[in-house]
Amino acid sequence: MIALFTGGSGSGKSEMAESYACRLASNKKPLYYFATMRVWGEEGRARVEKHRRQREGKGFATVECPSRLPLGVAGGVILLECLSNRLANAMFGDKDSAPVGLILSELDALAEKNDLVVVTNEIFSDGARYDAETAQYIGNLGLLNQKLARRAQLFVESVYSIPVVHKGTLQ
Amino acid sequence: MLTLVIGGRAQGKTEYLREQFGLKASEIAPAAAFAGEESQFAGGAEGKASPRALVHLEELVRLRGAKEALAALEGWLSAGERYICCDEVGLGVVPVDFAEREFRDEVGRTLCALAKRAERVCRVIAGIGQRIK
Repeated sequence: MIALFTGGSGSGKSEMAESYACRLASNKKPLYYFATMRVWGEEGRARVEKHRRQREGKGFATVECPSRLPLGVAGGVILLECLSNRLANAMFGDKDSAPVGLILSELDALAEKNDLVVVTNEIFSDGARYDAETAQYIGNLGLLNQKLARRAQLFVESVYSIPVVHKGTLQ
Repeated sequence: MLTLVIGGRAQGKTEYLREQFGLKASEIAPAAAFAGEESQFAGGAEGKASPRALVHLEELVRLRGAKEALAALEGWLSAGERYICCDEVGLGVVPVDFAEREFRDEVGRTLCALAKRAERVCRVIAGIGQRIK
């Protein structure tokens, strides 16, 4: 199954998705944390540290995924953090020619054998005009969100840690 | 009767219009078509059929401002069952540039006026709509 969590910067979506993944696993299934961020510089390291501390003691096995997602995992609960980094890595790092299709096929493969909890990002309502590359990135992330929301049993927006449920039931 | 559909860019708003309200592609037009002195849907022998839905209202507001955009739409709005889609643009950092700042305010004002008048307002996120009025 797929559960999708979205929200703006600092909206508490990560913690909300983490708690949900923990509840899904309830100490019975292995719990994986797929970390998609490529770490650059001090700020990046500090952010990773913050997220690591946040997860401490929750039983996550961290898997660094700066590029393609590992597809050999089965029978577990996977928290993918986050889709926006996965897309950026595919478009700007690996220069994949069809990033949306590639990422969807990865997620479909993982969701077939695991409970997949995906964190994405709300970056669509700032009214700014961007260069073609960034506009394409925003369009692709919007499309990925739409396709995932359609597949998901649960779709939640975190508004300053208040869950606004757009689809399914948050338990 | 007016239905207003709002949401961020690339959220599947146009598709939502088509799926939820059964609109055909031929019934949907860009709002910027109302930016000229006379609407190109003004009828007459060669006039195109008036669309039932307008999308990207923010582009019309960018060209004409809130007041003139609303005035340009008035005849169309009062002529039947209408649908309008608009990108939300006011949820980022307030820009330094005056024109960009004003654009966001004007879109907001336009949407407040239309939301007040609308029977139905839906907010779409990742293709999923929530009726908020």
